[in-house]
Amino acid sequence: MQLTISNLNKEYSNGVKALQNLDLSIKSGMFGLLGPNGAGKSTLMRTLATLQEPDNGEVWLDDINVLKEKEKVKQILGYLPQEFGLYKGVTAENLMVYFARMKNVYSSAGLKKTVHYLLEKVNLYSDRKKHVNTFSGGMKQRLGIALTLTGDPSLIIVDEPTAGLDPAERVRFNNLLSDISQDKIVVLSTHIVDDVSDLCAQMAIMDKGRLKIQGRPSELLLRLEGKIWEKQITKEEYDLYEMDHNIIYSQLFEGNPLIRVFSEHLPEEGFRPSNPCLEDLYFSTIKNIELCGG
Amino acid sequence: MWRMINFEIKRNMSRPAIYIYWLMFFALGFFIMQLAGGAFKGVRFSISGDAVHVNSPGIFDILFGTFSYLGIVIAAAITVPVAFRDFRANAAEMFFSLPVKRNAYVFSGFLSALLLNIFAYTGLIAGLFIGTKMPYLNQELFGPFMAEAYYIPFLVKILPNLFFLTAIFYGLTLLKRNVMINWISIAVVYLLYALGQKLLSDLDTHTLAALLDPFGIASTIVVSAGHSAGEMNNQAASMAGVYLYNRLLWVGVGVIVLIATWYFFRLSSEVRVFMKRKHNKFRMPEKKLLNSLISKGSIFQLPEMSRSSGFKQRLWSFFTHLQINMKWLYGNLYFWMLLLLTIIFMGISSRLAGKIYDTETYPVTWQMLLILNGTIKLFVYLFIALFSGELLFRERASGMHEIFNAQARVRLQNLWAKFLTVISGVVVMLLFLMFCGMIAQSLKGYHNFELTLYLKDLFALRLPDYILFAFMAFFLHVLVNNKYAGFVAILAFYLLKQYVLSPLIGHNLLIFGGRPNVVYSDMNGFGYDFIVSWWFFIYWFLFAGLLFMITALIFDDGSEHDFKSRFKRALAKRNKRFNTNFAIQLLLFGIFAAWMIWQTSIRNDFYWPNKGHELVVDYEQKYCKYKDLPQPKIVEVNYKADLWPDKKSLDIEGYYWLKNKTDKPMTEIHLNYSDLITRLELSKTFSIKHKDEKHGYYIYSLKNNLLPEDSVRLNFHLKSVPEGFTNSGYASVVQPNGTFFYNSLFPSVGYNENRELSNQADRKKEGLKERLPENSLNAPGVRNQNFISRDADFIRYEAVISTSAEQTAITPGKLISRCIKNDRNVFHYKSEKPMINYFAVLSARLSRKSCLWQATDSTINPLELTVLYHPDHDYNVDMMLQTMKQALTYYDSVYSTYQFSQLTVVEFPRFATYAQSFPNMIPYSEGIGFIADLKDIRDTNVTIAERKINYPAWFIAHEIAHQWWAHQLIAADAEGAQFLMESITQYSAYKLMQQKYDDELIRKLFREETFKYVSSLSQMTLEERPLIKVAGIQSSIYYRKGAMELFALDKQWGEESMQKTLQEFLKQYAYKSAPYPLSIDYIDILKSQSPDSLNQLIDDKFSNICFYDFEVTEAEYRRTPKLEYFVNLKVTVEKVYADGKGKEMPVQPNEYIPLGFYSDDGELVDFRYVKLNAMGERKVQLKLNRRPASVVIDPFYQRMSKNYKRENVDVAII
Repeated sequence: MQLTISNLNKEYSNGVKALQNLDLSIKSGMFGLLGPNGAGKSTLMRTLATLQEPDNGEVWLDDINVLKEKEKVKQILGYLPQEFGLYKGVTAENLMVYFARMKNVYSSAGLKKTVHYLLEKVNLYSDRKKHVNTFSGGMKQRLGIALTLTGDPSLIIVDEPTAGLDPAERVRFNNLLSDISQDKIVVLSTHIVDDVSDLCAQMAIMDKGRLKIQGRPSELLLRLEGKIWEKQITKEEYDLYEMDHNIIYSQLFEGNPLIRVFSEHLPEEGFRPSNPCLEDLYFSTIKNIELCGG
Repeated sequence: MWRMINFEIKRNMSRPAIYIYWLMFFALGFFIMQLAGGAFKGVRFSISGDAVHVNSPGIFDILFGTFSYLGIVIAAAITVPVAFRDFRANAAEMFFSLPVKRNAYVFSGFLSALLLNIFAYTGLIAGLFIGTKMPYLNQELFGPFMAEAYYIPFLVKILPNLFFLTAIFYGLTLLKRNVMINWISIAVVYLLYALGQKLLSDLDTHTLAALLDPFGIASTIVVSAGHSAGEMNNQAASMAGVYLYNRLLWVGVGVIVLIATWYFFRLSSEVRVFMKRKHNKFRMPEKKLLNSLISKGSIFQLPEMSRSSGFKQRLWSFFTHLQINMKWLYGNLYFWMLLLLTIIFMGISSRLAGKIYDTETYPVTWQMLLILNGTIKLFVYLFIALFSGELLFRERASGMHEIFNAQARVRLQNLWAKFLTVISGVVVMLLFLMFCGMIAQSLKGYHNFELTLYLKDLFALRLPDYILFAFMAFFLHVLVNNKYAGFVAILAFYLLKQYVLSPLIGHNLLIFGGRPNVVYSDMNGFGYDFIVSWWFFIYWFLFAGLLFMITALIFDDGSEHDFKSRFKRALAKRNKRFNTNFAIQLLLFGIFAAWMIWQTSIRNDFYWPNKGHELVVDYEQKYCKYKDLPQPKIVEVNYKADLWPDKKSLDIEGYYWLKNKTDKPMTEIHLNYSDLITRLELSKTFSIKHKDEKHGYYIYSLKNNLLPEDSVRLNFHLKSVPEGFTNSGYASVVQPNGTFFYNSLFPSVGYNENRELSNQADRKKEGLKERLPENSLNAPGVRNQNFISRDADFIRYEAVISTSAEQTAITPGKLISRCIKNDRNVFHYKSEKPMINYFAVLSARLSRKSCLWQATDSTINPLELTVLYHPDHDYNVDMMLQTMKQALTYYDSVYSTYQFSQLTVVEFPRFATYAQSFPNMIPYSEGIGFIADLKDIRDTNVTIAERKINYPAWFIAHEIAHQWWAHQLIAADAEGAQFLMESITQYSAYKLMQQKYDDELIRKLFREETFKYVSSLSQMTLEERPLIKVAGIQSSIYYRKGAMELFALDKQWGEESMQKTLQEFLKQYAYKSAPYPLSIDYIDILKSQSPDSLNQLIDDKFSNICFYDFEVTEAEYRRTPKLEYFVNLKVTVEKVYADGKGKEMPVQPNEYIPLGFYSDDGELVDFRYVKLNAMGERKVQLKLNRRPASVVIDPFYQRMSKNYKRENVDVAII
């Protein structure tokens, strides 16, 4: 399966350009879409989920024209938006049955089995008789993924699914996503870099509606090999370093900034080389640092 | 706090909604002024009579009240989002965590909402004001600009209403954090209003009605009873009495709700704790959590399941949609609450059902259906409007819409499922109401449940109406895409349909959901038009199908909600299948529409509302020159009529004899053709000189002149067979069971003045010359014709009527023979005495009950009195026969001999609700008396207040009196004619009621009649006139005031003296052709026979407009040992003469005023006249023989006073 996005543009009525000349190609497996808030991730996700019209551009899922043949797409689509609620006063099981029916799951035995299997998978089987509006954020999110998977979709789009989850739930959730991603396209948008590095064989980084970079994380990281340097400095020195160096990001370590710098060569005495990580890629992309060094 | 208000108002003012509401009010105000101000030809909406200016304080008071009741949905739409501002945006916690004080939070929201509401209503003021300024309006109808017309009703009506409505909507939303509670509030407020309106029908519950009605409409009606047109022009309802209490009460309710809101409302902290606890309860156990953290790298493999998208599967999927939506509806507390409220209203209404003057009817099924299809209808509409919004936006409200909309084939299936859920709710409501109807019937001891009638009416006639409305509600909700604005849009649609499109366009094919009105009658069933309704339903369902396809197309299933994106998306959604389906449906609709248009507007004529107006003006302009052209008069009517109820056909073949009663020869005969006439020929050689089919005006020119005293025969043939159906159903004179038509179908002779535009203001606008509403008393030749027909005096009359075998046909005249020919019933009637040219034909399946009655003159053979009635309606037939006997005996002995040898009261279907008197034939509607519940009438154990008025007997007595006062003596065609006809007739009926019952019942009756009369003063179209000059449209004056004044004179002067004057009047004028009598002729007789001391009283009653105001300010008595009671009273009496506009001039009273004394149990212990000859407070001393518990001035309504209550004042012991 292949999802091909070409020249996608979207400008909102308030003038925000959410998508600009976006070209992207996604193959089966997990695809991580990284980007800061307002990068246009959700717009892209909603467009792929047929909920929104781009100004122009095309999206093809194999031979399905996603923007035109919405009903066809919906048959094989599982979409979990960033924020969602659930009906009040309906049990998890009933809601699952409802969705399974909508997804044309036919025999009632198969339907029950599917529903139970999925609930088991998201670890909600024992809570299946509870009203969904009493669920915690994490339970809701897991039920959401179960609902998304009900019809055995082959295109799964999940928009920042782990945003509201605690670390343990996040791990669980990611495991589940990883489990299902075989033979399917799973598009995962997030601003948590670790999610992508943990899960995705393909990734892309978006910013201000533009696609910055795409590829396999390992391949992308190769480009940074030997070009990442770090140094512990004092707070007072920070401004000075910022002027002279390509600081990708800094984090506090024992109260003082530990800066990471991109440079072809050793930038200065006191820097030590560091293994590139996805954060480096992410932040350097966002900061428009020329990665390949020309 | 002011900062918060400022913020909230700015936020709202930056959005379009509030301006749309403002504009809606503007449009309403503007439009009502256009409609009332005569902007549209032929359609003018009269808020009150024309004597009241359209822009007067009194009218604006009414309008502001009405709009504040219609605007309740807008008030909710404005207020609820303000109350929900922070919950909805999930900003509640953020907002609450700011250092905001609870009072500031609660009251700032309330004040913001109130200010926004007030702003919206200023649109109404602007609309009304600009509306009145339009140059093309009929300026006759307007008075000078008065600022108080705007601001007083605004302050007194709108403001308090908005205050308590905003408080309720705001407070409950804040407390319950649920929108739907407001729908219940709307229903409750509406229920109270409707209840108030119902309770107004009974004088005893006026105060309750006035207090209950939250909008203050009922209380306005109560306090302004007695306002004259002039007063309406100068002032709004005065804030006094119940009106003041009503305002205080409802503002108080608002205040209490506000305080309660403030008291119970909690800012964030409490809410959060509550929510947290809930969450903790469902936390996963630790161990389980840990286990699940280990990624087993398991393979995700869904179990085998068969998937198919076949029809069966789609059905399953649809069924699930239906299930989940139905479950929501029937698990929704608010649905059941709304239903409960509806049922409560139904219960109360059924108790007041069919009441006429206190007397109820048997709860026959159509009465129940009348309730179910009356005000209750609005509850069903409310349900549809509200719950379709709730269902449509259910996913969005719960935040599930994005997941949901990404599902396949959701749009159409889910939309249909929601639609059917709403319809099922309607069905459930109707079923409940139906059973409540039956329960109400059985509670009243009525057990003839007509289940099929219920089902047919509710489910085959009303349900389609509701379904169509639901289609429109879905469309509007989806179009507007906002729950609150959607409700407002639906309200706008309803108002537009009801008050704009229906009157201005009138064509059912152009008004969504339009269909002919179908009236059910026990006699006539649903008539022929039930089927026709279904043709219209099919037309509208085809249209609704298209509408639904568009609804599905524009349904917002995306994540962008602005109109542009939605439009783009909707266009993109059109695929080939949609286009094909739409085209097919459009084609079907087109073909069917073409057929409907052909039926209603090509094959049959359709007149636009302004067309009739234009025709009438044109007719007058063309032919009014012939008004005074001498024409022969009809002296004989003779015809044969064949009625075919099963073929909807009527065929009449007959002739008139026309006679030249002038002393000059005539060369031309002018004839009015009705649409049904197929042939009209004279027996002498003639040629057609002028032929105008549009107006049906033909001029026949005679070859040889018609000489004085010479006659000519006019042969005519008329036929009525509907060809297809019209916009309002079959144009059939004949009905399945209950054909009833007048001689208005027949040809008439000469220019017909009655066709002229009669309204003064409309005439002026059309540039027609001013015309008095009636001929004045001293107009030349005014006595030459009677007011019933211009083209005849007394006539000979003969008719042979054939009808189907099971039906009885009746018309005036004596039934000479009856036979069955060719399996048809043939009746031959012939009048033994000359009669006025006023007859009707009635045919139906009827039962007969007769008795014999012996006239006072024993030389006359006993007469046959008959009641012909619908076989199921036998309840009061014996009472009716009894009353006929009593009435005939009474009138026969005090007036003159009854002129005919038969008298028949005959029931006709309830498409009209009156009784009428033709010569020896009295058609009487099934709606007013045949089913009256008179079981308790003879119950003497009840108090006077509980006693009921036997109105069927009263109406019969009235119609029988017309046999003298119309059919023996007929008034000239002049002002005051109805005083001679209706006032004397009604007086005669009162006399019979007095004889049959007693004075106390009359007192009760007169209280009602006085109230109705004084309430009508503000509705006058003409200036009020004294009785001798009363105009034909002033029915309240001649029916009510006229009869009461005659009765009062009778009571004071003595009935025998009064009867003598009427005998004398008859003696002078009965059966006489021209010159016909005028009102003053009778006054002359009165004055000549009465002592001079009564002259002033007679003038005051009949020639002046005289009102009294009297009051007992102090009443006490002292008992002597001899058991005599000395009573000391202080009374004030004021007497005024009013001019036609209601302007009053005080005059010195110098006359006897009646005083009644009552015992504790309401028995009249003494009745005196006391002479009073000065204004102001007077002392009166009297000696009575029995102890008076209370006193009342003028208990029997012998002096006209706007104080219609005549409440007793307790007499204290010294």
